[in-house]
This record gives sequence, C-alpha cells and structure tokens, in this order.
Amino acid sequence: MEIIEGRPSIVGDEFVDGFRFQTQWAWLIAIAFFFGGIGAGLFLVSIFFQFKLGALLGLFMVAFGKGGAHLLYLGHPLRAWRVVLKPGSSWISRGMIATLVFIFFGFLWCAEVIPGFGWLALKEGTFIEGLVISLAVISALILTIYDGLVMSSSPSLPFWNTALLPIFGFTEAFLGGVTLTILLIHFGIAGNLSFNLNILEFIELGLLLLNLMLVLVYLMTMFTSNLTSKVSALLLLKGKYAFYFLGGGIFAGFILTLFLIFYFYYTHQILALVGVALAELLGDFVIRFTFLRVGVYTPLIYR
Amino acid sequence: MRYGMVIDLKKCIGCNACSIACKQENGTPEAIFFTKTLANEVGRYPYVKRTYTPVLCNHCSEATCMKICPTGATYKRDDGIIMLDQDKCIGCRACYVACPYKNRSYLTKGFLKRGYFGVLNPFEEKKAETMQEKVAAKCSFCYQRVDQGLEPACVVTCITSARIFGNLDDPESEVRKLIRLRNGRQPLAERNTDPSVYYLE
Repeated sequence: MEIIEGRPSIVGDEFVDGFRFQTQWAWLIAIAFFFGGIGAGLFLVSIFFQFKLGALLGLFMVAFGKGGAHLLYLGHPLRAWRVVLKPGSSWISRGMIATLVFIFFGFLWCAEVIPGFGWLALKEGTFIEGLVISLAVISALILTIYDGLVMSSSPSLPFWNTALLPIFGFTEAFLGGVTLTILLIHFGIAGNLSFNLNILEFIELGLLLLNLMLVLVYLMTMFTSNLTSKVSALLLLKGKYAFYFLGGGIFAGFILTLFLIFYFYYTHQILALVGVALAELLGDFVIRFTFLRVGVYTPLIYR
Repeated sequence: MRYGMVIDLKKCIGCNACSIACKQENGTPEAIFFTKTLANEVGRYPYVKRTYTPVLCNHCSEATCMKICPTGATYKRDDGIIMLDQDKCIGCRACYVACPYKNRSYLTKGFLKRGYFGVLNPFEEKKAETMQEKVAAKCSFCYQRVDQGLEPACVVTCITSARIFGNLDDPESEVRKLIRLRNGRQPLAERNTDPSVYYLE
C-alpha cells in the first residue's frame, strides 16, 4: 500500500477500497503509441517537404513498430482482424482503420523509392496523386492524436480523461517528426532536398517549448481537477514513477534536449544533433509510458 | 426489462459468501473474482468503524467497456445484462482499462491449467472447458441461472439478504421500491455509466 500525504492511497488486489493502479496497459502499449506518434509525425513532415525516404521510414515505424507492439500485446493476435468491426463507438477500431488506410496510401505515395517499386510512382499533379496524399495525410493526422483519443475517451481514469491528451500527442508526434527529419538531413539521407534548415530547427525549438508548456499545464490541471487525478499527478512528481518522469521525461526530454540544441547551434557537431534526437525521443517515450502507468481508478467510497 | 441489483450496505457483514458462491457457480481460477466485498475503515481511533461494499460488474446501461471494445465481444442483451463473447475477444484489455469500477478480469496464459492446488481437480477441469485463456472475463449476473428463472448465485447465498435482484424497469419490483424508498445510489454516478447496481445506505 502506498502512502500519499499521510493517507493510505494506492491499494492492490486486496479486498479493501482505495485508489487502484491501471495495471494492464504498460510498456508494449507505450512502444506502440510512441512509434505510432513519431512515425506519423515523420511522415507528415516528410510529405510537406516531398521527402519520400523520410516518409517511408515513418511508414515503417507505424507498420512494424506500432503494429508489431500491438500484435505482441494482444492475447489472440490471430483474431486481430476483428478490431475493425466497431468504428461506430470504439476509438481502437477507428485507429486500426486509420492505420490501415495510412499504410496503404502512404506506401502508394512513397513506394517508388524502394528498388523495384518504381512502377508505383504517381504522376505529379494528377487527381489520383491528390487523393492518395489527402488520404495519407488525414490518416496520419488521426494517428498523431489516436493514443490521446483512446486514453481520454474512457471516464474510468480521470488522469487520462482530458482533451489535453490528444493535443499533447499531436505536438509530441510533430516534434518527433521534425527532430528525425533534421537528423536525416544532416546525415545526408535527404539528398538534394532544398529548404532552409534553420527554419526547421527553429520549429523544433518552438515545439519543444510548447510541449514543455503543455506538460506543465497538464500537471496543473490534474492537480486542480479532482482527488484521483491529483493522486496520479503526485505519483509522477513524488511517487513510484517520479524518477522516470522527472529524470527521463523532463530532464532528458526537455532540459538536456534544449541544452544540446543550443550546443549544436554554436558548435555544429553532428554528435550533439544525435544527442538531441536521442534525448528528445527518450523523453517522449518516458512521458507516454509514465502517463500510462499513473492511471489510477477512483475508489467507490474513500474520496 | 432491465435486470439490476440492489445491495443493502447496512446488512452486509463482509463474510464474502457471495465471492465463494460466485466462484463455485462460475469456476473462476485462482485470483479471479467476479464479485468480492471491499472493506472500508472509517474514522479515527477510538471512533472507528468498518463498513463493507460488495462489488461486481454493474451491467451499466452506458457501459464504457462495451463502447471501447473494438471487436463487439462485449455486448448487451435485451434484458440489460452485459455479456462477453470469449470467441470474439482478442485480449486487448481495453475493457479492463475502461471499466471505472475495475470489475473486469483478464485470464492470463496458464491460468486455466494450474488450478487452486497445482493441478486441476474434476470440478476445475469441467469449469475450465467453458473458459478461454488470454481473454477478458466478467460477471454475467449468472445469466445461465437467470434464464431459468433463478437468481444469481451471490444473491441466493447471501446470508443477510443484502443483495436483492430484480427488474429495474418495473416500478413495482422490490429493487425499484427499495431504490425509491431508501434513495438508492449508483456507484460513481458522475461517470455517466448508469450502473444497474444500486447501493442502499
């Protein structure tokens, strides 16, 4: 039993009333949400710059990272096809449909960069190309907010039940996409892509600060909304997951990333840029993971 | 027709006979309880009292578990009982997470092979045939008994008659009368799930 503010707070499976952890969705779901977010983010940024190799990388992240983690998590992966059957009420169903649409149309758009798939190249400026891009972008946008929508759609865990979560998911995904694009450009993978890199780096910095602000607003909202969400927020700052959240999510994800961005700006060392990407992505993952883990159920009586 | 249950907290003595009866009826494996009685200690010494709150699936009218289920494995019967089709369940545990009362269970791998004492006894073997591993599981208001005109096992076994089962849609039913007369309240009503289980205090 965990003690918060001098009161018995979290109980396990004992036959007593109290706050209870969400115990089922953990690291595999966090991995799926992480790859789904940054994969879709990278695809969106790449499609904006017509950077097909980057888009393909984002697509693979979604297909194999997100899809693979979800399949590994399922008790009966062979029945996974059933997931598409309830789009009327289930965000999981909608997410699965969006993922399939994204993989299909996203692949159509960028498959030509794979040796042997050149015949799939779409004619530029045609209606078909516009349709393919539109469907790929819409489904990618859904994927960036999907995890937030799944988590916030249920009223069971007050820490998740907020409209801030999809917004946060979107900015995290976009930030991941921008960071990876900058890294790919500096490694020469983007080829002769012509755009102002400084603008992209400026966007990255802005998104990082926006994300930090969103995390702070999120925590402040949780502290002031109800006791259950306050317990969850306290667990992030003082409890079981404080080390991960403060060390990985805040320090690595924001402070270290900011420091390395400025270090790179003045030194232009490629290693610093790799550090930026690693620290930022680690922070993204840790925040998603800890947000999942501190989901707490409201007790029936004790409030 | 909407089946529901009223639980009189003043009558509950926390004996957990309902939990045992449920286990016997459904043959649930070790550590899986479709119903249990939670204890609450209230007050400070020397003015302390212990109260009990039996919990089970609330068979909510606006069941979040049913809404979030992506496969349609969780469904509602015409009489309001929320059911789970284990053949359709993929084991995503979204229902488990979405239930505000945490009244869902998940049968992990090997659960149905261990038994209470290492190996399955004939009773456990028979019951294990009706369940699957790596899927969710939940209370079904003992639909197999209800369909025969019987009451759920936990209701029949309750030694203080703290649990009353009946039709919530009938204004003359005992459950509806008790809710009306004693201001029955639904658990966590603010979650807007409209549970079919009411508590009397």
